[in-house]
Amino acid sequence: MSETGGSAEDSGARTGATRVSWPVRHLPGRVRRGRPLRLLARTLVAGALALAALHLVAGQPAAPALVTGVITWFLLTARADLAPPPETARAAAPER
Amino acid sequence: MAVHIQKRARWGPGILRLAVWLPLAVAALAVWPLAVVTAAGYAAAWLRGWPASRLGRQAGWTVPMTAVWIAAESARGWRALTLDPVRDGSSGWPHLTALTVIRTFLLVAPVTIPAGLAFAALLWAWRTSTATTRTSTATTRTSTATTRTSTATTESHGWQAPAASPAAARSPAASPPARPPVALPAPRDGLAPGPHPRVPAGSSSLDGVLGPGVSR
Repeated sequence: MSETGGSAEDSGARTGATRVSWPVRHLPGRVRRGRPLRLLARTLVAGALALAALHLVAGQPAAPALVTGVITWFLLTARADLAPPPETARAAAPER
Repeated sequence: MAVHIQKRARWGPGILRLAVWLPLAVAALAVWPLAVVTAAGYAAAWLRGWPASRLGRQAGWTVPMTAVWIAAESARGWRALTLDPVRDGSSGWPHLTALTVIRTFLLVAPVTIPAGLAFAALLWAWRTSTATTRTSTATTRTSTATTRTSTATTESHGWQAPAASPAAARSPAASPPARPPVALPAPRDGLAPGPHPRVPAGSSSLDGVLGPGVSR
């Protein structure tokens, strides 16, 4: 009984770990198959904006807020530069 | 006196329009960061054909920025939280340079960006709903005109088709005005009230056609 419960917990934990690491594991491949140059340009722009905001309003409460805004913008828009995840791509591909 | 009234009639609507737009322009200048964000959001939605909900969603995505700003400001005290945006907004006016303008905008950006985008979404929703109402009114007018044209056509053809819908049948534009009944001439004496050709009773049909005294 206890062995069964233990194995179920183990498999649940393993599934959780897989779920967490799955996007991270597939991220390099998605970047490579997506639009890497555009993503690089977007990263540079986001970094420059964050640095400019920190330089212009240094020491003000607006500085961390602006950096948060830049990070939110980057996370929302960078997804368009990535290739779709393998599962989605396989489902979208026509069956032969 | 007539010239005076004519001049007043010419300048009246312009003065009214100025009385509406001038306070709005002054208010927009006073809160220029908010006006800039609102104008940018409105222009983007207009140019790219976005629905108002998309602008609203983008305003929602900027809320984390505001939350971080509120957290950072509340560390200074609640008095600073309420007064800082006003002080920051007016700080650039004494030394008006490009750098101070950008700095002022950035200082109040955590408040003005969500508020401006939300305001632009409201404005855009109001504008699109007004345009939709106008379009539907114009469509109704066009359909009424079409109904009138079709009624006129059916009248000229001499028969009337059944109304397309009960509402159209009830509308006064669709129903033609009642015409007086046509009085047919009464049948003459000695003529059978039958179909053409009207021939006298008791004679052959050809006699009636050729007339009396004419034989074949």
